[in-house]
Amino acid sequence: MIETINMLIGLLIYPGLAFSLLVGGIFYWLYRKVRARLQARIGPPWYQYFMDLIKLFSKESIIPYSTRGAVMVLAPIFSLTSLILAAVMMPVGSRSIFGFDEDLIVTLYLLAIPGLAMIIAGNVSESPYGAVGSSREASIMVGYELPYALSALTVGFYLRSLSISTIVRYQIEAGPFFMKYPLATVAFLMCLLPKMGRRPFDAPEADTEIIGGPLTEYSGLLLGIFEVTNGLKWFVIPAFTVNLFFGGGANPIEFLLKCLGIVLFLSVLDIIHPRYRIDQGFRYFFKWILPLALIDFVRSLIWP
Amino acid sequence: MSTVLPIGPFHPALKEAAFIKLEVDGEKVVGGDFKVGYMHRGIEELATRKTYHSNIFLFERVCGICNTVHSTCYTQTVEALMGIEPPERAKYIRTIVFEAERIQSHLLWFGVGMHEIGYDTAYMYMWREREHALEILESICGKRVNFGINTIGGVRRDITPEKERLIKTKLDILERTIGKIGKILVEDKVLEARVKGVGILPKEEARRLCVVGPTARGSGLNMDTRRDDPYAAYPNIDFEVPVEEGGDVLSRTLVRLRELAQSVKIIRQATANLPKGPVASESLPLPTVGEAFGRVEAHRGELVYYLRSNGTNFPERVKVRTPSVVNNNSILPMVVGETIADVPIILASIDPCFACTDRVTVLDTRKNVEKTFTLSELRGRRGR
Repeated sequence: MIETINMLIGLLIYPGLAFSLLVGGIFYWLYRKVRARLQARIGPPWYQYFMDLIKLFSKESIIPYSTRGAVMVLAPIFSLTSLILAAVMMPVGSRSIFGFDEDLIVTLYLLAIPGLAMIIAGNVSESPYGAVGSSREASIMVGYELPYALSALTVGFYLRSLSISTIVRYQIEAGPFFMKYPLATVAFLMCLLPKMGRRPFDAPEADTEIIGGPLTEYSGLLLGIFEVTNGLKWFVIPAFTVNLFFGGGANPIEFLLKCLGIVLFLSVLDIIHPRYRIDQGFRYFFKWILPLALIDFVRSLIWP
Repeated sequence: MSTVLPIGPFHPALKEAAFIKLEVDGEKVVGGDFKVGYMHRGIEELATRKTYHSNIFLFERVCGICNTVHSTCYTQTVEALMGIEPPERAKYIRTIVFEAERIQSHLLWFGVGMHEIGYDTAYMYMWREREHALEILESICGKRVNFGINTIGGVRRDITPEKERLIKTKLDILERTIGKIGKILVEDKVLEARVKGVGILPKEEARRLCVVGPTARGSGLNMDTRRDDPYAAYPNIDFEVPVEEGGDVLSRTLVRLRELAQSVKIIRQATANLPKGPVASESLPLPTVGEAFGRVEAHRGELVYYLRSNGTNFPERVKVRTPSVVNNNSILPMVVGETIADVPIILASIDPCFACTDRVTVLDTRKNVEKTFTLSELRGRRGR
């Protein structure tokens, strides 16, 4: 009984849905605020993201007649579930509630599902913009998933462990990994940009070209669930980065401050860049980012 | 196997309503169709029911961005019809307003172009700097959008010495801005990857399609009405006409950038040599029976007005040929063969203005024929 309650609290409150969504929403607001201030605008108030969610949840969800309705409903749910699971496995301040020995691999898989959900969403919605958007999402995923997984595994191979908690504990004692594997860190950080749909790699959701991309036909509750996953991404992905390369945190405050640093770094990259065309973005990852990730991966294999 | 991707009538890449039907194969554009006609307002017909003086304010509303262009061209054509010449000072003031408006129009275009390739920071930045150009216009005309400065036989407001000082300080700020834009264009590698070699319009093709303005000058066609057929104060002003040979989006962008610098130079000269005297003619004759033709170099290219008078206070026929009418034809040849991602920036690179393009075609859906009315038929309809 106690275990079930603990598990429910873990899934829904801390470190699951509620906590991650609150922190992610605030990080997302920070991104928007920094972006607005650097663009000589005022920017939204801190609760804007949550108000948007309330509005979307209160609206009718229209499912086009020609689509395969069930898949269209399932796509955002896949996305949301995988991110909540990734959030509960994430050690916040060196202590993970649901962590286990192979959670690095599982997290890598779970964090790939939102991208897959986007591809499904675009394809089943029967809109030409959705089709173009999901084909772009697919090709950029081919570009970034490989260097992303390689650089994450670099750390695991060095420690001969696939547990994120072990990686964090080692870093607290021996110093963060970004000093040991700077190239893998750079590769990992660059892969976060397409993963979060940020410039210069936001071609799948380029509003001036294909309107909403995969989300063009979504509305109301279903779009709201995609927005929730977007908010969760703003917490889970920086948290994963901090745990792997920046030494986690001895306590939650230190951990969140480090996540904030990652968020600001990604925001600045987003602000100062125009958008790459999809073929240019793809080439960029294969030409520059993959070799960086490979060098450090091989280093971790040869000199453990 | 190609599918159809509709862009428009309402789409984030379009600032006005138009419809571009793209046939795409994956990401590549293999064909298309271009339709305008969602915003026909019947201005030419309306103009025949208003007096020559009221029409100034009507034609200013043909386009929101380039309105003094229309009123200058219209008043010059009416002045030619009446056989009067505005005072020298009025001509200089017209030139100053004309070029200040070119600065704000081009800065607006830079913002829109940057937005199309996702560079929102540069877009916001350029629109902030555009305020300085708008402040110049506000100080001269009292308004920021529809200036209402031109009148038949002169201008309605004078430039005082205080305004001259304001113009001078604002021009210094604008000159620095133009330098910064040039730096962004040259240094940003991602931007260069998006605009270089994209949307090429070769010189021969440009000549065949009769494109005008920066679109033509970006393809190496050296033409500019301000130099070839000078009006207002342009005969007394020293300026260059920038021409680029590349024919791609980058060339058209660079032409506009260099035009900005030339506009600053023109305003500086015009304010320094502002002649003394009245700003408007005292008495106006009625126009004689006959016709007149006027053209100016608008921000998007050559603008043409044709006027026919029947001796009354109402024009019998006004014909406006805006630069976008001809430039729009170059969209399809440029986008075919490029990717979907390039379509918005190619579309923006000719600085299209669909609202001033729309003309009426009568379609009979039962017989499936298009009909174009001739002038004599239209005259017959009006007579009924």
